Order: sequence, then structure tokens, then C-alpha cells
Amino acid sequence: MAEASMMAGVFDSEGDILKAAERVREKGLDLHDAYTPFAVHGMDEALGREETRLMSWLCFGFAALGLLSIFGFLIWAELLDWPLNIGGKSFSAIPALVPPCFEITVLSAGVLSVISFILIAGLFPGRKPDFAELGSLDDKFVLVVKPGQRDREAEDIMKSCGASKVARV
Amino acid sequence: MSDAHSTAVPLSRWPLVRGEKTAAQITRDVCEPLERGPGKLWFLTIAIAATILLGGAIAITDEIWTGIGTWGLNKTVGWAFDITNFVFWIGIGHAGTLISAILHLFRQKWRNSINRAAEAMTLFAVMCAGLWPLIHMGRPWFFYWIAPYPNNLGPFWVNFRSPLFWDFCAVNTYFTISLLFWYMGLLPDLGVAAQRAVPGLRKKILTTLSLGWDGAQRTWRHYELLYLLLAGLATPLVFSVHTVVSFDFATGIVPGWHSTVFPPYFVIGAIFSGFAMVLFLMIIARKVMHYEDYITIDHIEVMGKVTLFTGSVILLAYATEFFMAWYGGNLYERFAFINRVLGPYWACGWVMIACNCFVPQLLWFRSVRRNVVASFVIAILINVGMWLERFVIIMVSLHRDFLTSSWSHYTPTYIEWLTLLGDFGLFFTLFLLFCRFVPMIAISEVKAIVGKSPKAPSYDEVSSEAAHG
Repeated sequence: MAEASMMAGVFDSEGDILKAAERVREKGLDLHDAYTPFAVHGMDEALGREETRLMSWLCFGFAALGLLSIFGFLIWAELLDWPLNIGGKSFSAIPALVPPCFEITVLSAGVLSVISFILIAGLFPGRKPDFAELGSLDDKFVLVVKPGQRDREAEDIMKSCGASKVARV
Repeated sequence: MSDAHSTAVPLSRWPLVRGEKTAAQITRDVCEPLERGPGKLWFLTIAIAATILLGGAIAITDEIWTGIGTWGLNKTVGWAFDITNFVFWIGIGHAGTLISAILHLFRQKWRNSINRAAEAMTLFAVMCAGLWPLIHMGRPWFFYWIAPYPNNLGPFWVNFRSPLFWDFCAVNTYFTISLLFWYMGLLPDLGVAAQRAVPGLRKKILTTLSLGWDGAQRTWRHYELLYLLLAGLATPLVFSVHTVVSFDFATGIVPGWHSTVFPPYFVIGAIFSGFAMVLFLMIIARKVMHYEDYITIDHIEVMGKVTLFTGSVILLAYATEFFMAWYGGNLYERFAFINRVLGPYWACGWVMIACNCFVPQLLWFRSVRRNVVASFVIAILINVGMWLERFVIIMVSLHRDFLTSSWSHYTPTYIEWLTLLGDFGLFFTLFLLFCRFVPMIAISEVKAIVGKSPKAPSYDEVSSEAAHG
């Protein structure tokens, strides 16, 4: 990463990091991101981001895509491409197509959502985790302020909110 | 509405994790057994499991080399051991998805320390299940003939209206979604394990698989929603998979199969047997891996309650089937059910009823639910009973069909028994490898629940209290 000297505050509890994030933002400083061992509720708000429903919409879209594709395919195969007479039953037996349609809908929604999550989150095999050395994967809550701002002020705010350590990263 | 809910409803009635763990302690407790290197007990158990697996592999090789004739099937009973085991294993898998997906949607926080292992169990059980239809094909290398793929035979499509095709879709979707769900849940913990690992091959593998997870909020904000969505997708899947499995029978005309009660009956039976298997595995895992503070006696009790509930529904389902066989007035149907309990395979029928209907009723007693040994024995008996249930439904219905002239008998050959044993070998080998190499408890989820539950004594304190008082 190019930003060689960002300020990172290390906190011991989720309450502290939420408070610090809000205070830092109130002072007009830009935050880079927060790194936490588990999902902290209210973190998006504290970082000044709107809660996102992006995954829901994507998932719905993928499900719709899957449903239309499989239904279209089955109807095409059964009615147009090669109609098979099985026990004299109707060629377009839609109720019989419900189970495969359902399964493929779920399959496409699940697989494509996971792939899009990995792409959106910017994860890939071999990626080096950011700031892991500060303990954010273990039990520390790390708040990172964007570089080139009033570093001293950021440090003071984070310390006053209970940061056990403030480091340049 | 929201006001009513916000008035201090306690999150849980009992501490979900014992021993006042801190986040760092949780990381250590879960990761250390993986880093320490396996002990003697682990080597001993995996050696046994792998040997049994090898026996199964030999049996399967013989079966593929010679053909299905090595099995005890005949013209009347063309489906017996293979489909019994397929349904049995798929059923086992259902509890894993129930715990991970449905309990997640219901916000049952107690699932957090057992969901990882239960999900792994699902994956392994589905693998064990998939083996049977595969080898029953006789020429398993042509397995892709079930899939509708562009070919030069017409193009000639599979019969999309066949329940066997539905089953193919259902099981494959189930496996894929379960795998993704498991992997997504594992992602943060792989990050933790990768960071802690000493440089070497293990670290490299973990780092690659963790995709560079660092717990950034930019990731978490999508992650939580994705996990919820996957739970939402997996939930109807639990119902659909065993419903479709039951269609394999219910759409046939064989008396004892042709029944509208099959889908709910199969789904609840699957959850019942699966919970018994989870109970069985968790009791072993907490002992061997020293996870008593995470998989507490309260977890065992709750699982006992779910087992009791599903077991009681099974009792109702059996009663319904027998009642309808009498009340429905269909002679063939009536005979099929009399044959289950008084026919040549009466012993299977009675053991099934005893294990599935009466044994779980013991779980009404709190002292039984909180007794680890009793729960363990009940779990084993339920699994025996549920295996027999599938055998009775499938085989005992088939061997006496409409035409008396085609009545027949079926006895599994040693090849079939060896294959079944080998399947258990495969299951336990995979599970033991999983215990060894993957964080068995969802670290990030457990971290999120500690501190929110009331202060709790550790397992040792509780057991010494119990011993004194």
C-alpha cells in the first residue's frame, strides 16, 4: 500500500472503537477503515457509511437469473428441441419442473453471491492481510485514519477514547 | 413493537460459553490443539477409521470390477442397501444445515460453538451419500450421463420429470451450497489460524484459503449480510432435499411408498437422525479436543430437546402411517404394514419402532438430557433405528409387492456390509482430519457472543460443584 504512514489506534473493546470512530469523524478527519475480530454492529454508522443492502439485491438478481435460465432451458428442451413422450404425459408438465427449477435457482443465487462477495471485498488467494500484526484478528479493534491529516489530533482523540496503543502503520 | 422487544429480554438463559473467556483466550483455545500436533489418541482413531475405509475401497473395487451382481439384489428387490444408505447419509447431513442455517435465522446463539462441526458433518455425510448412487450405476465413470449436457445422441435429454433427476439437482445443489456456507463461515477463522501458524506448508495453505482475510469493516459489512442470505437459501434447501428424496419413493406405486405423508415425514426423520449424529460427534469432540467450556452440558441438553421433539414427530408419523393403512381400506397397503411388523423382517420393524419411538422419550427427563453417557447411548440407538427405518421402508415394502409370484427375499452380501462399513470409515476419517486441520469452533462468532452472556463458571468448576453437592 502506498500510504506508508497512516495512524492506527488499537482498542480493547468494541465500545471504545465505536466511540473513537465517531469522535474522529466529528473533528473532520477521514477514516480509512476499522479492523475487528468479529462483526461489530453499528460500525458502518460510526465510520460514516450507510448500511448497505448490496448483497441482497445481487442475490435476488442471481436467483432471478437462475430461475429464468433453467425454466427457459427446460421448456425449450422439453417442447422444442427434443420432445420425449414419457407415459403419454403432457410435454409441458410444469409442476414436474418445479423441483429442478427451485434447486438451480438456489444454486445460482448462492454460488454467484459468494463469488461477487469475494470480488467486492477485494479478497483473493495470496492477498496479504492489512494490519494483522496489530492483533485485529485476535482480540484487538483497530481504527485506521487516512494519511496526511492532523496526526497529533487523531492520536489524542483515540487515546482519550481508550486506545491502548496508537501506531504509525 | 420495537419498544416491547427492547425491554431487556435476556439474550440467553444459560451461559453459552463457560469459564469467562476473553477473545484472546478463545483464539488460543481453538487454535492451539491444531498447532500442537496430533496426539496418540488421534493417530489411533484415524488409523482405525482409515483401515475400515480401506476395507470399503476394496469392496467397491470388487463391485465395480465384477458388477452389481456382487450385491444381494434380485428382480424383485432391485433397490436395497444402496438407496437405504443414500437416504440415511443425506438425512444425517440435514442436522448440520438445520443448526447452521435455520438456527442462525432464528438467532439461536447457542449454535455458535457447534455449527462449524455440524456443517462439516453435513459435507462429509453428503459425500458418503453420493457414493451409493454413484457405485450403483455400475459404470460410475459415466456419471455425467445424468446431467443434461449437449451431446451427439440427438441431442437426447434426460427425463426432467423423473424424481431421480430432481434428486441429482437437489443433492448437487445441497452439497455446493453447504460447502460455500461452510467456507464462508470459515473464512475469518482461517485468517486467524493463518496468522498464528508458524511459517511452513500449513501457513501457506491457510493463507491461500483465507484469501487474505483481515477483518476490515469494508469486508464485514457485506459478509454479515451474505452469511444471512446463504442461511436463507439453505433453509428451504433442507426441506427441499429430503422432500425430493422422499419423492423417489412417493411417486412410485409400491404399497408402503405411495404416500402423501412422505415429504414431511422424511424431512423430520432426517433432522432427527442428524441431530442424533451431531450429539454423538459433539460428545466425542468435546472430550477429545477438551472443548468442554465451549460445547457445554447445556448444549447437549438443548440438542437432546430437539431430538426429543423430532423423535415425537416421528412417533406421530409412524402412528399416522399405520392408522391410514388400516383406515384407508387399501388391502395392499394394509398388508404392507402388517408385513412390516409380522413378516419375515419383523425384527427390523420392531427394533426400528423401539429405537425411534420409545428410546427418545427418555429425553423427557432432565437428568437423562444432562447425562453425557445416556445421551451418547441414545444417540447411537437412534442412528441404528433410523438406518433400519430406511431399510424397512425401502426393502420390506419391495420384497412383497402386488404379485405373489414375484415375492422374494433379500440378504445383503459381505461386499455390501463392507461398503457400508467403509462409508463409516470415510465419514470418520474426514471428520478426524477436519478436527485436526480446521478451527472446529467458529472463533469469530463465539467472540461476538462472549461478554453478552451472563458470567459463567468453567466446566471444571461446575463438575466439582456437582460432585460435592
